[in-house]
Amino acid sequence: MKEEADEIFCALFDLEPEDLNDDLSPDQVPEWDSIGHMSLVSGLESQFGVQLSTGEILEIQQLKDVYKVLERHLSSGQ
Amino acid sequence: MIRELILEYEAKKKGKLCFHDYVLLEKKIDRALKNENPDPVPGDPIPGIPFRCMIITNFTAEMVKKALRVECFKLGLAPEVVSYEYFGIVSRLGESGEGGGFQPDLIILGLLGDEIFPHIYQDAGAANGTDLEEKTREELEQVAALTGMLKDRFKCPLLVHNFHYPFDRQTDPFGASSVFQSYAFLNSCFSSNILSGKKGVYCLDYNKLVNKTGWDRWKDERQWYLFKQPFHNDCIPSLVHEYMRFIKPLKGKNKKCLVLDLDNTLWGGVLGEAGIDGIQLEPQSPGNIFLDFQKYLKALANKGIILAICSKNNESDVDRVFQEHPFMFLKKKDFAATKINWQDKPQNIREISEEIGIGMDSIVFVDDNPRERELMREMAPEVLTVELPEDPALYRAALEGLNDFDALTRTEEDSQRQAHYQAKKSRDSLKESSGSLDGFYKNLKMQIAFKEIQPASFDRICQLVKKTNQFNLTTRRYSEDEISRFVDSPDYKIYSLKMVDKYGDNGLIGAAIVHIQDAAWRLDVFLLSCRVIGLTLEKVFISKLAAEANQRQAQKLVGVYIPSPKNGVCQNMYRDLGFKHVESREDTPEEVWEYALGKFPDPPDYVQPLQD
Repeated sequence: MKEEADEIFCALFDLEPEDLNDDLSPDQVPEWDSIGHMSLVSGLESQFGVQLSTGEILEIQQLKDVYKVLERHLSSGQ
Repeated sequence: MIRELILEYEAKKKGKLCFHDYVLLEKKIDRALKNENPDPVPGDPIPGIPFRCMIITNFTAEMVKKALRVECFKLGLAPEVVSYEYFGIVSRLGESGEGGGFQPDLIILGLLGDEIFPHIYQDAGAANGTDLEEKTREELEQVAALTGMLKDRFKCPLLVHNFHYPFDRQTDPFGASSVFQSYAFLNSCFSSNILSGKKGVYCLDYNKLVNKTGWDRWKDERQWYLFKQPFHNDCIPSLVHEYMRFIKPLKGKNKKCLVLDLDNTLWGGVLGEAGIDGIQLEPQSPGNIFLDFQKYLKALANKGIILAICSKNNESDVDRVFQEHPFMFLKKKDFAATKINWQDKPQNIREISEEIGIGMDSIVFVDDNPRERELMREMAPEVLTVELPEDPALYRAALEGLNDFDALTRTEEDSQRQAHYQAKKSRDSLKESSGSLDGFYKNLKMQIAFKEIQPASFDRICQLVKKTNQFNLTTRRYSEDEISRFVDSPDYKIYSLKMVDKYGDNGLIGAAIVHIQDAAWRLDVFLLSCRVIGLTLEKVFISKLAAEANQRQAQKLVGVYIPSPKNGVCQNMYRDLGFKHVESREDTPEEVWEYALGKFPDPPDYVQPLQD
């Protein structure tokens, strides 16, 4: 899961895997603005076949939140 | 270069792009552009035909812009897309300078009814009667004023969304009528105030798109409350698809001519096999599928689309269908060009394009046979080859799914076009195909099995002997009993050919009955199923027979050709394969050909033996 999420993240925000860390937030990633956030959510949803709730979309503030939210969806058996 | 990048990506995804693919593609494109021009200043040209588009909406259009840019690049355009907020632009447009020096080629005005007409769209704001009508008129006048201003200022075409049905209103058996009445009133005012009589103002049928998709799939509350985008991201490609319907003709990229196959396309079944009475084409099922499809094609022709035929058939058979079939809806005069012959189709389409005088890139090719489609893609990639579904009931939907046939203006000339081309139609004799087809055959990955008759293949061989009309050199119709006797006789041998290619197992598609007369092997029956005509399998089959005969100490192969009204396709087979003409008799049209054995060429290397 983590690798796939990282891949989407890197492709959207022009990053290399070695640039990633759990605490990465929009402050450090110039392209992670509100449009970038929409693109990120849409990419995660189509890659993992899940639908994030409004609360979860807002909850994603750092890269680690992406893992957390996905983990929740995938472990609940969707 | 950018276009290739998109096509390559699309091929990787097998033509199905989801919204996320558009996002990634836009990234790739921007990266490629940046590599070419690392330090762009505004106004720097980007490669392609310039296309400037202004989008004015009362919702967030940022995501739509992404997919729109990609589709424009795919068309070979160099798009510049800017977007404005509706409520902001109305006041600012008055001030000079707003919009900068931006001179759009197209303005898209996409307004959601929800915020402009709360009295129609929201239960809380619902109004009735004259109050409602007044409010509706007032708001629409604002929109009309804006469209007028935009037309004056930018003098470019304007594409305006219509309004979707107020799905969010609560309806019950008593209240429904007021909702749809108010919606009907909105629509009628929209038509009369915004659209009718306005030159260069076009309507994007947003309501139809929403309904076609289904409201529950279309809406996305999360996107709406968080980002002010009313629809689900997955629906964006279909909205952009509708935009492209206008952009294509605007930039001269629409298609003008539809080239159609006949068998299993305009009618069901194979004419050469089933005969005029056996093809499916009538008001009852399953012929009604094809009758309706023909009616749809006629409607396209009335819109100005040129129709043409490209079919492997005998022209005289087809002419009979046009003249005598009671349900043949399209007439020969509906077609600007007809190529009914056994030549390869890419060559035929080239001739059609010259005859009619339109570019190959204006042509759409419709054929039920995946091999013909692949050959066309290979040899004439500039032609748009439609991926026709297997079920003919879905042909129409497949064509309707294209956004390539629209014109922005329709003239008298368009509707007369067919007659025009008909008159111009030349009757030049057919040119021989020149291009090398080897690459295509290789790509089919044909595998064959050549075998002597077996109990398991007996029935199928009998069926082929009884039914095959076209690629049948002698058309001798032996009964099952007769064939049984051949099987038992030492003077006869019966062989079959089976073929599997990348499209699947075609089953047993060739049969030959050999009469052994001393050292001569006489091909009493030699036939191939119509499914595989044009794939050079006759060469393969004869070469296998020659090897077999050689091994059994025969000296020569003797081929017989007996012309029939339907087997013109194979009349030159023996000559083409290097046989020598030895005999034609006065009293019969039968031809006899010979081949001295010992050195018959191997089968072409693109055919492999079938691995069991």
